[in-house]
Amino acid sequence: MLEIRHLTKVFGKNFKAVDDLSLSVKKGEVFGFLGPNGAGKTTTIKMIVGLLKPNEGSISIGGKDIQKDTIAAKLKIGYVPDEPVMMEKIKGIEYLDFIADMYGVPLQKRRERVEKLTTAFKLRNALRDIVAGYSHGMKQKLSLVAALLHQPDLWILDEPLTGLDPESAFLLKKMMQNHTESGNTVFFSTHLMEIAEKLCDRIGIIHQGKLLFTGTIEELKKEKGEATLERVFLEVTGSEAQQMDFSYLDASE
Amino acid sequence: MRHSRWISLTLTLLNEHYGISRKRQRYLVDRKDLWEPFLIFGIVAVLIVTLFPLMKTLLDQMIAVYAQMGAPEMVYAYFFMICSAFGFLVGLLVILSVFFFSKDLPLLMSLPLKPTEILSAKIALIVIDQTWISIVGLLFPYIYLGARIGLGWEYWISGFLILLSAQILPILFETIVILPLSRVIRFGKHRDFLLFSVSVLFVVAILLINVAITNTGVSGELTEETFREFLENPQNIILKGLSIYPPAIWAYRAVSAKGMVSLGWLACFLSVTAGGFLLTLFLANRFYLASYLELQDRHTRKSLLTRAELDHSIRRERSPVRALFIREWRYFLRIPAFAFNGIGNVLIFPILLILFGSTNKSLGSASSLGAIITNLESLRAYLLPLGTLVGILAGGMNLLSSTFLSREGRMLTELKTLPVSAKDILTAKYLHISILSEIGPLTAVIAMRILVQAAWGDLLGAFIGSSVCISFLNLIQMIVDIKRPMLDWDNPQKAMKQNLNGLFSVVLLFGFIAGCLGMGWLTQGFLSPLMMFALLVGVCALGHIPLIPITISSLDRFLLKDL
Repeated sequence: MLEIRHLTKVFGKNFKAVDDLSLSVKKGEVFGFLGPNGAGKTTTIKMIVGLLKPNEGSISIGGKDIQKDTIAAKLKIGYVPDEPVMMEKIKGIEYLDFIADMYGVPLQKRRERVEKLTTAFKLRNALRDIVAGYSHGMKQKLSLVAALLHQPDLWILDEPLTGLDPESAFLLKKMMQNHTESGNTVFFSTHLMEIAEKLCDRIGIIHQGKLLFTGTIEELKKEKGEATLERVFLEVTGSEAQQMDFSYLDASE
Repeated sequence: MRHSRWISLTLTLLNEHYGISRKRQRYLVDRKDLWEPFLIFGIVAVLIVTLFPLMKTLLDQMIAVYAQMGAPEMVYAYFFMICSAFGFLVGLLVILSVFFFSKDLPLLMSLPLKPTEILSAKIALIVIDQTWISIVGLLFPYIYLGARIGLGWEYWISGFLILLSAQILPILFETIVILPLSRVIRFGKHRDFLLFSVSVLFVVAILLINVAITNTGVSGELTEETFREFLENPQNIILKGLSIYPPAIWAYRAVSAKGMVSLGWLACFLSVTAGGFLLTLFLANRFYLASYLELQDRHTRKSLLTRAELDHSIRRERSPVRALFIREWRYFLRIPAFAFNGIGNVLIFPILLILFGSTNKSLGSASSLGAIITNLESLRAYLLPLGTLVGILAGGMNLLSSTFLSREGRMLTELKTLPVSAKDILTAKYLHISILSEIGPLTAVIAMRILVQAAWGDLLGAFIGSSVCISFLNLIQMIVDIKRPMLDWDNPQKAMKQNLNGLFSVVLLFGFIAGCLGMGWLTQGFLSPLMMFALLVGVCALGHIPLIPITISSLDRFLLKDL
């Protein structure tokens, strides 16, 4: 479903945000994309959805190249950015109607999906309000609903659980599993190890732009011999967090 | 301690507002886009050089008129009043934007600052920003008048201090009104209402300015009664025109009196200004914090949207172009800075044109401005090409096409992720801009009808001709904005007012008009007015053939670039 080949993104003259990254995500798979802040997760995702242009490499979504066959590739994607970017001066219902027009969702279908999704995410009572008045979590939920309206084959979710209340987070996780069970694909980035552990069929760990590992969590644990994914993650990314001393924070003057 | 904190706050707000650190980094450290400051200085220099003779002639005439009345300093008061009026107009939107829509407020409110400190720092920022109006509108008349008449030290000191503080009173007055009102009207939640209120105020203010200017006696007629009144007490009739804005009387007294009397009036002006400032701070303590905190209340409706309501809201499928077109209108109308600037820019010239026409109709051909109509009569043969140029001037000054992509700002991310082509996006945006631009030619032909009773054929020709030419100019401006859009803004005002592309559009428009007038002048011996018109419109119509594909391909390439 998602084929990434030798993807490289250079910012400025020589800062490689993503360095020769290759991976493939099969149909029916939940793929977790892990990495510390600034590792290149969002840059990779932005290249997948066409917001950034790679310096090298290619990305294919369901056989459509995002650079060459942009519109056809975008129609297969449902994208939720890490920070919801949407028109804030319009009502929630107007925003969803606009997105449905963009993806050509038939009238009856969009009514049904808007009703079901907004009811599930407890957003139905806010649809008549202007988006600018929504909380961060509500905007995140609206962004999610908008991304799922056209029944995309591939969900690209950048930190989708940030800002969601526990009920919505549970719903989303369930929806992600249902989506892949129907033969579709989910590619999402996260910092939450327990989420990755519970949801992902496979994971990829990126650090300083390089993909350090791809495979199942069991494979990773076996390879590194650690008990928890969190510890494996810290070891793989070379983190010094475990050795750090923070006693100065509470020391009296 | 608190004093230095306030200074730090004000300096940081100024730094952020004018992007001083960012510009310093870009121009001095990164040495990027160095052509920008040179371009700005170049354009300002060209404007000064071209406007200087016009301004000098106007000032000479005004000084001559007022010198005869024994009050040449009235010229200063006149420009002071004009600048204050513009300060009122622009200030209203700036105040609302700074106090209620600004994104830095959540941060400032969380800091250990008193509301008065935040408010006074913000007012200082607004006043400094607004003082540019006085610098542009009052500085030259102040220097020219003083040097030409050889006025004394009282004039120079009072005039300079009043120039610097001219914008304070309009801003304070509006703040005093807005702060208590904010307890009644929730500004942050009623932007649409505000937009229309400000638009109405704008039109009313223009009418008032028109009346005030006529009353000052510059363009008005001296009737027998006013002439007798003038002979009895010349000062009265002079001050009558200024009575619409009393601080203008104090300013006039301060710059026209001698010695301690002048300083007394100056002290009066400055004391009222300081008093107004203190009153504003008092009201700020009383109203601002509570209003602002209330605006932070977020709540959703209690009732669920029923299926019937949902079906009513989602009732038709639209093509991507149509949906984008509606998005364009919503985005434009619901962001006051865009709507106000956009509609204001296409309305201001036509309104002035119609006012000009109607005022002079009432004054008759004997008035000073009426003489211009008589001159227009002699140009009646050239009505079609000249009317077309007036239509272009009226509709071309829209700032919409030159900022069509810049106005997206961060929203461009949304546009880029949607499965739509550059052609679709461009079509929707072009249609939106074209509709708004049409206000210009439409009102221009109405003014032509009022002013010179132009024939219907000429009116239709001028309307169609100017529409074609504006469309041509719009495409050029759109290409420029695609090449260098200003997307990194936090305040929508910046996307329009601090955008170099907007400045380019003004130069392009005036250059185009001047070029056409020049060509017309050179070819008047062998080209008929109809031929001139046909040539102008023909070139612009043909210009669409290369420009449309260039615009589409430029946008296509732009959308492939990184964001």
